[in-house]
Amino acid sequence: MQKVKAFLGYFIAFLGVPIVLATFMGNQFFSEALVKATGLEVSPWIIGGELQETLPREGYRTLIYAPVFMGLIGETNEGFIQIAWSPAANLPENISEEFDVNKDGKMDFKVTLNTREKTGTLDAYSADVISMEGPFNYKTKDTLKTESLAVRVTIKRALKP
Amino acid sequence: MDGFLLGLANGATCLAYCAPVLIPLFLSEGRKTGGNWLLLAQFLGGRLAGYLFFALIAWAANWIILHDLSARTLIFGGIYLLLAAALLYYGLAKKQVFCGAELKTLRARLKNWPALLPAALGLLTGLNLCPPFLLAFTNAALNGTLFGSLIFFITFFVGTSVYMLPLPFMGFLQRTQALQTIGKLATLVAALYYAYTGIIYILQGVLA
Amino acid sequence: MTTLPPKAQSTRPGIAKSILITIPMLLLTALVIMGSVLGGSGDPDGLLVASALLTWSGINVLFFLMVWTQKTWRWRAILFVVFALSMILVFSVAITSTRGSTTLTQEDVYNGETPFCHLVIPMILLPAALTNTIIFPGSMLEGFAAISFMLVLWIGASLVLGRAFCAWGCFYGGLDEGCSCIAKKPLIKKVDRKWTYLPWAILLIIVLSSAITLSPTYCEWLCPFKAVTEAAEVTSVITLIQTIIFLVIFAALVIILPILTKKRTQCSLFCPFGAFQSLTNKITIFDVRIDTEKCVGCNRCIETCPTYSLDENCLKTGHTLLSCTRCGKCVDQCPKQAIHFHVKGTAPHKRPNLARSLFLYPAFLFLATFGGGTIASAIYYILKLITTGSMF
Repeated sequence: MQKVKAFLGYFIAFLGVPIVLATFMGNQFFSEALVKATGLEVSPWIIGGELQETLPREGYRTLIYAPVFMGLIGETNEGFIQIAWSPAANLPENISEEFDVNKDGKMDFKVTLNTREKTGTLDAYSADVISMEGPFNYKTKDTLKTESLAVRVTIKRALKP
Repeated sequence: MDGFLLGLANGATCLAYCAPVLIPLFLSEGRKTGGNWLLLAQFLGGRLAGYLFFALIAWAANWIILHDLSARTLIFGGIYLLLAAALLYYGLAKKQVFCGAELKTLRARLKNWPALLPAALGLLTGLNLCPPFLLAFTNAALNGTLFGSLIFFITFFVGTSVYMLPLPFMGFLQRTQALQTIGKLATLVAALYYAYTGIIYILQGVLA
Repeated sequence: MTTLPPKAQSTRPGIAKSILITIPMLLLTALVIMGSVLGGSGDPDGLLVASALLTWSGINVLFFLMVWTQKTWRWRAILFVVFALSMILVFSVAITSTRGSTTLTQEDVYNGETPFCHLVIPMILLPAALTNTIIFPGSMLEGFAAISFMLVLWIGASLVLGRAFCAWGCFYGGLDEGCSCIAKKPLIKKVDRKWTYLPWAILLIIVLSSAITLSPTYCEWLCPFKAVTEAAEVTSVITLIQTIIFLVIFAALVIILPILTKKRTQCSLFCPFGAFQSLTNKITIFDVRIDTEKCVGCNRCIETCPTYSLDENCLKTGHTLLSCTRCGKCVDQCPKQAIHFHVKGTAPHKRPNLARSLFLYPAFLFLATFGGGTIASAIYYILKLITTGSMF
């Protein structure tokens, strides 16, 4: 038994070099396999929710992302909805848009932006709309990585569609 | 979820303070692992009862005193600061600090009803005003509703109980000292966090 | 004062044997270093080739010395410290060239442009398991130090090295190791052993707080290496407090205390990743053993261990503590050669040289590969600065 254990010990120890080589030389392959197998992605709390709606405007588009309420288990009471205007280079100086988050036919808030000065204000029409962060420069998550201007509006879960 | 995670975060501290009471109980009963599980279940049942009692008090405290108070954030900020100071003291104290369930006294009082001993111990640790428990109380009081307060304490109970589960296995005894030290040091780190939270609450209260 | 026992007879190999043992490492490092440094460019820059060659030869000289002198820690420490210093330079240049500055803005966070480092790993596991998302503002596959790249690296390192990653792979460890080598003798000799449990306490707190907030709380509040990598842009009282915390912890644990104690105080008394990584010592095949029959109890190893991984009880049991990083310092210092690398499952204290070689090869290869590319890049930037006046 002792000899078998020793043999196994040395055998595994010998595998050290191939494992290190594979770790570095096969890193690209293993990284892609890891992401594919697990489906892991960066938290929407960090990079915003999935793109949900694209509204074409004159020379630019308004991108509305899915509201984020993800909790460790279940959902949080407060979350945010991200809205982006893209491409940043084509935006008019002033933008003013109203949004209906829960699709009940009533607008929930209005965002007014000065794209040159990169300033913005939020007009909340509902007590469930709390505050706004931004505007900030944002690269869209598609392959084009278009430079956009985005805001994040903090909302309560009651507004979730 | 917050209650469960707060329980998990502070469970090591709970264990650090109450394991010296629980382990002698297991040892003095001299049962095997199966019997110890029964003792633990009785103990945890008593503890849950204690926690639910406090959930009611937390809700009442908020409903009667705090919910309408303009200086609510200032008061909670102050409470957090006091608790942080208590956590610091507990974390740095060299002696074994007070745990609600003092075995010798309790055994003497319950000598005619020995079967009640584990549950009574649980109840007393549940009613124990140790710092992690007081933090849970403050958080539950902040919650506002009776249901929220009960859920908070139940999940806090589950979180802290996770650490008690290995106790019936006596081999675990060897690690108790290390866990106690980690629990105490975690208390110190948590104290810094709660001190920061307290200061932010007070600043918000002052600026409002 | 402790009187040291007379030294045991050394079993130092001859130069020819040492060269022979070094040859496979020469080839392996040529493959990985040249591959990583020159692989991407079709027509390699002369400076880049010079940097790669300089790095490759320097690394192999250190490995040869490791084999020939039978000293592990001394030569490893040199490479480890150079790796850490190079990392700061390369990181700063890489970040500045992609983002324009080393400060981290909220925009960088929302755009997922933060390089991932291994210290984050304990915090992401629970949220990853429950939400299938990574609570770190990086990229899964793209850019410098992508999340999956570092995860694969960590898995490989954990399998082979266990916590030896902290002595042979961590690009921060060299900073406090370097500072711990500055003084000749420690000014603070006794540190209460209970503080060695602090990393576990911090680990407990940060794992749970990260799960509650779904954000990497250690990076936001405690990481001392933010001071030399990419601290958040100071835009509020909170970011100012965070920056002060980073600077104070860095100065205290990475510079001052290592100088005063001659220990890796950040790694052994603070780092939650180190505590977490200790658990992987259970799965790796290598460990360090003490021959209790040869040991004369001079306590030299306990005094010199940089990570408080030895105590008097270890000298009786023959095992190190779970936190051992297999840096080799105790092996080098033991006057009776009673401490040695060991392959689990094999008879203890037999064929220690074979066990050492079996450990050194993957461990050094890991350090040479991970560190080699970084050191070569650092040399390249320095040469570029000298020749062109700019690193970019």
